[in-house]
Amino acid sequence: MGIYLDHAATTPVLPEAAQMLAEASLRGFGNPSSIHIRGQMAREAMDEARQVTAKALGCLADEIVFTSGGTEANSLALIGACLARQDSGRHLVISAVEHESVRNTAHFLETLGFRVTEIPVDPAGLVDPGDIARALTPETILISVMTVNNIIGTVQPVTEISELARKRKILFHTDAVQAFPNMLVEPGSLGVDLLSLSSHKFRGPKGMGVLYVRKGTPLVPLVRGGHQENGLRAGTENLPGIMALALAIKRSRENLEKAETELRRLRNLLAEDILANLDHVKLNGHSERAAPHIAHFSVDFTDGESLVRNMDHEGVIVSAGSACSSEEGKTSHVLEAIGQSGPLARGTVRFSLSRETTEQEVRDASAVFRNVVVRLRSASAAGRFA
Amino acid sequence: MVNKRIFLDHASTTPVRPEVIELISEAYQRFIGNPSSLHRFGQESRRALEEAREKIAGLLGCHPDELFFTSGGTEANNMAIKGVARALSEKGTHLVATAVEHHSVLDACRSLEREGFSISLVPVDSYGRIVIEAFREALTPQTILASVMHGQNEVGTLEPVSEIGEIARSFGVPLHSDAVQTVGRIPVLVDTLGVDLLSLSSHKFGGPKGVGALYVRRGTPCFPLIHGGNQEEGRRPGTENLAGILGMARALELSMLELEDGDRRLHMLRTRFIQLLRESVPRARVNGHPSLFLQGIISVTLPGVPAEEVLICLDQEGIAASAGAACVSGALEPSHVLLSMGLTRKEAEATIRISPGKENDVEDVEVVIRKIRGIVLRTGPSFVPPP
Repeated sequence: MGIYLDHAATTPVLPEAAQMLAEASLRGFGNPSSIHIRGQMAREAMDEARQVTAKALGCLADEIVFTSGGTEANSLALIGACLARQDSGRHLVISAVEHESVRNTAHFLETLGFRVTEIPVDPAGLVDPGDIARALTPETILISVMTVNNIIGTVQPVTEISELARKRKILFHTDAVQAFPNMLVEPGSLGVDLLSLSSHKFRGPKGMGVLYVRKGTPLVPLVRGGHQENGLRAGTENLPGIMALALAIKRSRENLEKAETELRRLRNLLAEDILANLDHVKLNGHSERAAPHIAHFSVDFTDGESLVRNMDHEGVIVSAGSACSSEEGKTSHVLEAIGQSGPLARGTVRFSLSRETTEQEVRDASAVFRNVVVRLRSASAAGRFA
Repeated sequence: MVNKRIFLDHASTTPVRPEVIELISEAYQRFIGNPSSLHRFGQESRRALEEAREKIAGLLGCHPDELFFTSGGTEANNMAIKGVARALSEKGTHLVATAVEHHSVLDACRSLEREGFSISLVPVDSYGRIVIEAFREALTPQTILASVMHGQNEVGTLEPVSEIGEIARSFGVPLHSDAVQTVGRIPVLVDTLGVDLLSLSSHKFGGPKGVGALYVRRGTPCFPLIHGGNQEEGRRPGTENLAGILGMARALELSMLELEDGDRRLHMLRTRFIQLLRESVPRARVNGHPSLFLQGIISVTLPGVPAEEVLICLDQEGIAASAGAACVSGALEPSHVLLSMGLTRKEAEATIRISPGKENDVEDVEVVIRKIRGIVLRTGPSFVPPP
């Protein structure tokens, strides 16, 4: 089956969670909104799942809103907060390296008359909180900066920015989709008002996500038509999916600190091995503020798509960038933001590990990568001089 | 005493078919990659996703690229209403819907009022069927979207969508239909109905919850509701719930295969239920259209007997029924649908919905009638004839 190192794109569902989903579907709880016993049983199961989820994040159960995924959570956070606060101002601030779901939602808000400021990052992909402070105006109602960048893995200074936001009474949202389950994510200690998670990134089912909404945060719903999720997200709840999500988040939270240390060790091992054995390869991202599971490289004289396909052929699954934009065939806005554009940004590859990844897999993947790069380079050189 | 549990609330949700659960479990093991990934794992997922899309498109008679997967019927309705309205806002700012739409349509319309749109709600007759003339009159040069549901979720009346479609087309107004109650239960073909957008929900036909779809006819402008990556051609971003989508496709396929048998069985159950009801509670009234209805939805008014009391008593006996839409139960508001049909507040509050499904039999119907009769006897014995 090969070595799967594309966990930033999606993770395999935890067998335990898949089983729970199947069992819950078989048991057939009924609709949690129905008043009959089956409806009540469904509601109780919902409440429990919500509590388990809240516990994993160290927040209150009624601060959890279940959504259809990280993308919806991000859309709900931005549109919901901006529409709720538009009387206080119509300006929002995001970083230049946000995921498409934040970026494109912000662009959509522009069509509704909001003004968006994109804060540039340094070549390591880091946002300077000072730049954010300077961009704030009395009109600013929301800041959205991701916890971990999904392409290059840079960890943003979320706590510093949240302090800033709190002082200015501006809402702060963070897209933590890539952070959990690889790092500890606690909205309380991060000091954020809104935080998005995606179930399929932590081995839960796809089609599920979480938006943390700090108590008292004003939010207008995106999907309307029922009182589900405190009126913040209408639609019959996907209870089996929610129960499976809760189990996956609970398992992810267990031994997280230990897993993070090991993950980081393997990621560093991979990076060192690759850099030691190949020339003209650059490890992107920040040297200290790096996510423990992502290693993103720029490889001169190759292109990302050939790298991915050739490695796939040899049984190693990696990605050229983010899955969400892989079909565009254009330079990622993240690479542009860190100053890599055009031909330089073409030969990029992202390895993303999980706590199930072994040292042997890392060593094998590195060896395959080395061979593929050498082969592609000599083929392209041969082509050039033919 | 433990009674056999009887589920008569299929309009609210249906049990997932065991074959579908099995398929979903397999899919979790088999399809690991993100359908947007370039590698083999991703491409395998992509192929499975597109096969499911083709399968569903085939059953609805549309092109695969006209089908967008959502997280359910509610999202599909929200996307249709807000998406078309926002896309066509330069052309006009007026929307038309029936007074008996599901809350997800009505609330989506209402939220647009704050963006400067205006809404006309077209009245229905005493059967809950849209008044066609009133629909025609509601259309203005400013109208950019009409939304008329296919099967009414509380009383089961089938709306004349194809007639409405013709009128809408002659005015150049796109028509959306909430077909959440009909897809998988009766044949639904987008061209026969003449709709430009159509919503469906997987958990109403034995599929998993949290999955649905919106059909958008080629060329119909519709903005996304959720913004992000390129999935679903950018119109519905977010990593696809592949296992759920495969489950929905299989559930729909199986439902369509069993359609005729299922319909006959439901017809038999319905006929028996109404016959027994007439015998044991003569003052009971069945709401909805006398001939154009969904077999699986029976709306019953038991004059003088509060629905809530009936439902709690039934529940204690292990029987699940509903007062109307599950999405608003607990809200204790009398149904807007029943009020629109001309029922009084009191009558609306005395109305229950029985919705049998695939696993019910005649015995279930007989049991529930006995229980209803008992409850009515306790509440108002003078109206009930001796057995």
